Order: sequence, then C-alpha cells, then structure tokens
Amino acid sequence: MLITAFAVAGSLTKISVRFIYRHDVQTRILGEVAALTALDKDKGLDAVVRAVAQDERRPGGLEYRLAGSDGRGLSGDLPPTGAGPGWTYLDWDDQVVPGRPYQDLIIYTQPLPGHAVLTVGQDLSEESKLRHALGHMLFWCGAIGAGVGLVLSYLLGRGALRRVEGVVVAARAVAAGQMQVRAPARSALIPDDIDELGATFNRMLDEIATLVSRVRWVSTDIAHDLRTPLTHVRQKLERIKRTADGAILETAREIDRDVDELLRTFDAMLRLAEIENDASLVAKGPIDLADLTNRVIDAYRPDLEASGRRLRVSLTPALVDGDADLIAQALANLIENALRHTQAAAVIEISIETRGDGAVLSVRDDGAGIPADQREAVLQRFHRLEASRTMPGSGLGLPIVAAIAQRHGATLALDDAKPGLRVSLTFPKAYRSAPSGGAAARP
Amino acid sequence: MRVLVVEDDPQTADYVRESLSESGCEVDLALDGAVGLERARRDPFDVLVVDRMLPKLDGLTLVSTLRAEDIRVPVLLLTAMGAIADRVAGLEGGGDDYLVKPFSLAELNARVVALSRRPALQTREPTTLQVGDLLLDRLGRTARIGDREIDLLPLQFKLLEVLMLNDGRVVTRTMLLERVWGFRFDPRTNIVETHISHLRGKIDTVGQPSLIVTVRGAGYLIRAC
Repeated sequence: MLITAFAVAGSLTKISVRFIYRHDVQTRILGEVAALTALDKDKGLDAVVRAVAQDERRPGGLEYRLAGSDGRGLSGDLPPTGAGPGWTYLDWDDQVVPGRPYQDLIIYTQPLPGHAVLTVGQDLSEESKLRHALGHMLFWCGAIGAGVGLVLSYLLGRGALRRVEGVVVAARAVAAGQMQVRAPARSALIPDDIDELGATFNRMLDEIATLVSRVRWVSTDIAHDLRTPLTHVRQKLERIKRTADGAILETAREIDRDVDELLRTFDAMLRLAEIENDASLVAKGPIDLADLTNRVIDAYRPDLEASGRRLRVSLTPALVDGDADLIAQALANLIENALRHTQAAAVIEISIETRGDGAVLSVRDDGAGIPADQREAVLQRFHRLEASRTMPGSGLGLPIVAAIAQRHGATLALDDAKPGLRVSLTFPKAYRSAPSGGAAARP
Repeated sequence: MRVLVVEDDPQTADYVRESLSESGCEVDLALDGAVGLERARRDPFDVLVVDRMLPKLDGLTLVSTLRAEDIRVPVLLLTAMGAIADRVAGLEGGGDDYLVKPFSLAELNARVVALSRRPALQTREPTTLQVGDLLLDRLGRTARIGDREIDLLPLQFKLLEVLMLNDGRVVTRTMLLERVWGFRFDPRTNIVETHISHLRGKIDTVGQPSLIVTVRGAGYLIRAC
C-alpha cells in the first residue's frame, strides 16, 4: 500500500512538473517570437538575423532558425524542420547537431510576412533530465521512507506485542489456578491502549479474587449456619428410628445416611476453612514423623490388605515441627485417595526420606495418575477428575492436604510416578531437632 | 444418674433431654450459662453437658469457674463444627470430653455414660481388666482367655483395652478413632470395622456369640456372654 501510494504521488508529481515546465517554455517561446516579429516590422529582416545570432549564444537559451522564403537558412542552429506554422513537437532521437544533441524539441513556427519563416524552439531534454532526477529522488525517498517505516513499525509492533504477551501470560496463569498473578503494569505518563488493557485486566482479576474469597466465606458460612437445622433433622430422624419399623425405618436410615454425607462435606469445608485461617492451630512440637506414619499405616493396613492391595513402606526416622493430628489427617487423606483411585492388586508405597533441608513424606500408587494439566486443579476445593465423579468422596481431600502443608511451611508436590501418582510433602527441618541422629533435643 | 444439660437452643436441649431420659438418666435443663452455673453449684450431678457458646456466661468460663471451686463433676463440652481451637481450649479449661455439633444422640449418650463411670481422679487405674473369661494384663500387655494366651498386635491390644475399660457400655466409632488411633478426623474408609473384625477373629470362640457386640447406629460394646 505504501509503495502504491508512493507510485501515485510520484506520477502526479512528474505530470505536474511537465505541465508547469511546458507552460513556462511555451510562454518564453511565444514572447521571443512576438519580440522578433515586432523587430522585423520595425527594423527589417537584417535586425532579426542579428538578434537571432546574438540570442542563440546565450547559455540555456532557446533554439532558433530563420529561413528565407526559399527555405535557405539565414540564421540559427536548428536544422530545417519542415514544420508548418504553429506549435510542433519534434522527437529527434538520433538527430545530432554539432555541439548539442537534440532529442525532444518543441518549436513554434511563425512566417514573417513576405520574406522569411521564423522558428523558435526549446530543447526538452532539460525537462526530461529534470523529470528523471525528480523520479530518482522520489523513488529513493519512497524506498527509504518505506524502509524506515517498516523497521519502525516492526520495532513498535514488537514492543506492543511483547506487552500484550504479558497480559496473555498472566491470563494463562490465572486460568491455571494461580489467582495471584497479574499482568505487568507500566507507569506511563500517558497510558496507551495496552496500558489500559493491562490495567482493566488486573482490575477484573482483583474483582474476581474478591468474589472468590467472598464465595469461599459464603460457603463456609452456609456450612456453619446449616449446622443447627441439620442437627434438628438428625434428631427428628433418630426419634423416627426409635419408634418406626419396616419401610419407614428403612427410609429413615437412608435419609440419615444422606444427612451424614452432607454433614461430612460441611465438616470438611469448615475444617478446611479452619486450617486455612486459624494460625494458632499448629502445635509447635517436634513430631516423630516415622512413628506417626506407622500409626496411620497400621490403621489402614487391614483395609489395604483385605482389598488385595500391596503396601510397601520405607521410613527413615525424621522429626518435623507441627501438629500431629493435622499431619495424620493429611497422610490419611493421601492413603484414602490412593485406595480410591487404584484397582485391587495395586502397589501403594509410603516412604519418608530425609534430605539436607527437611523430610519428604510421600505416598505413591501405580493407578491411573492425574494428567499433568489437572494436577494444579485437583488442589482446588470440589475439583474432581471426570473419571472419579461417581466415586464417593467430598472433593476436599487434597485441598485439605494442601492447606495442612501450607500451615506447616511444607511443599506439596504431585508427580507422575510412571505409572501412577506420587504425592509428596516436604517438611522443613525441625527447629528443635538434634543436629544429627534421631533423638529430639528437648530444651 | 443425674445429668445437667446447659444448652441455649431449646430444640436441641429438648432432644438431648429426651434421648438421655430414655437411656435412664434424670435430666435437668438450663438455657443459659449463669443458670447452669448456679444449678451445678447447688445440686450434685453425675455429668454436665455444656454448650460452648451460651448467653450470659460462656461454657468455657462456666467450667473453669466450677473447677476453681473444686467441683469436679465430669463435663462434656459441645462445640461448633470446625472449631478445633475451641476444642483444645475446652479440654485445657477443664472439660473432660467434647462433642462436635451436630452430633448423633447415640454418640452423646455413649459419651455421657462413659464420663459418668469414669473412675474418680484419685483412684488408681486397674492394672488388669476382666470380661467373662477374657483377662487383660495392662502392665504385661498380655491377654488370656482362661489359660489360652492370645497373641495380639499392639493396636489390637489397645482396641481391646478401650472396649474393656467401658465394659458393658457402648463405645462409638468416633470414640475408638480418638482413643485407639489418636485420630481427630473422620476417615472415609471403614478402618474401625475392619480392625474390630480382626480382633473378633482372635478373641472369639467358634460356635459362641462374639464378645464384641455391634450396636447398630451407635458403636460397639464388649460384655460377658
């Protein structure tokens, strides 16, 4: 488009140059013809012959031919043209007159009454040189202009693209569940559209974050407030169960189980909210992690073995700071998850390893695992994998583990165990643990 | 057995009273903390059931006031769901047991009964427990039926011990989870049932009814046949 514009502008310029130039030339020629015609009338042909010879020697001047009525040249350098009176345009490509090449020529032929013919012309090669020079200049201006324009717009575009990219990256992170991520903000004196976009995007995210936390609180409040009516429902059911029999008793038991399920979910929600929000919760005792793990494993061992699953345990003694009840719950949730998502004959591996910076408690199964793109999401409350929607469970097991990990300054990682899933909790080194060996140094 | 229930929700108070009465308790009601404290000071109750949140005087203050006056009646605190910090504070403040709302009445009954039979603080805990022919030596950590030695895993010993300490009384699933495994959360699997069935396999005699009875909707109890 840019190039077309330059071409059009170039052509227009050339045409107008030609027009102006021609007009100027014609005026000059007519003026000269009029002057010489007047001289002929006043002073006779000889004066005209002298004037022509004199004028012709002026550099940059016009071209002349003064011929007698017999056609013989009287004065001037122009060769005979054979042109009639009036304007004629001559294209003498190869006519070479000694001393100057005529190429394009415009002439005006005027008979001087009675005895001679005057021809005055102008060499147009000057004009065409000018046109060429102008054309070249226009071409280079256009080319350089276009080049500079392209480079500039590329640079500007790349900068803008990079800034838009920032917003896209932030949007992706948020979509993946990292609600705290924001688009990069620039403190520009005059904000442009992209600044506006980033700022609006961030305002929207802030609003969503507020809504999410409000929803979280609302759901916790609902769970809390429905406690009393549910207690009443349960009490009425118990009264029915004491007096009823047959089908009514059976229905009452079914309703009781449903209410129980509801209460378990509410309980888990309140528990989660509590773990997330109550900083006083974690008792800061050094806990023998291996001992606690053994206790939890012993509780689940009969169930695991009765279902045909095999258990592999390898525990290194380790001390961690924290709340034994909460850590036991985290581990129990992980074991129950492994139970729920594996078939009989699966192998479930529970281990504790000590590393320089802490202790790693991990539960590994050889089940279907969790697709990489869902691992972040399963830590969100009520997120359940499509495949497990029909299975029992509150959808709060892993979020509770995540909250417990966070409370303990531990990191929770979900990895592909190829096959299966490995969930590991890395606890920081116990503050009061002995520098080496297993025993706790209790002050 | 006399029980004082201090609870401000009339409907809950009513059901609690009804349920405890049916299991043979004489139940008094107080609808706020101040009245509850007065009643507890005046009359000798076997157990107090006290809601944590009460008008006029909260449950925790009520209990610590009683303890400061050397009134040692066992107290079951009722706490709101999701208030673990409350639970800890309640037990530290002199409560003997706690129950999270909403609870089943069977759970409440079992815990009230367990509290009422709790040996006084001064008496020493028995070193041996006996139910029929089953004898548990708590010091040697051995179990016998007649002269047959029973080989128990440590966890099975603990389970049997908790049941035998409540000889003839219902121990709920939640109570077992707390006292045997130290779990203060609700596992989604039937670990208690599995362990009970393994224990039965070791202590029961073929052809005889089980020593451990399942009480539907409530829990388990051990009793001599």
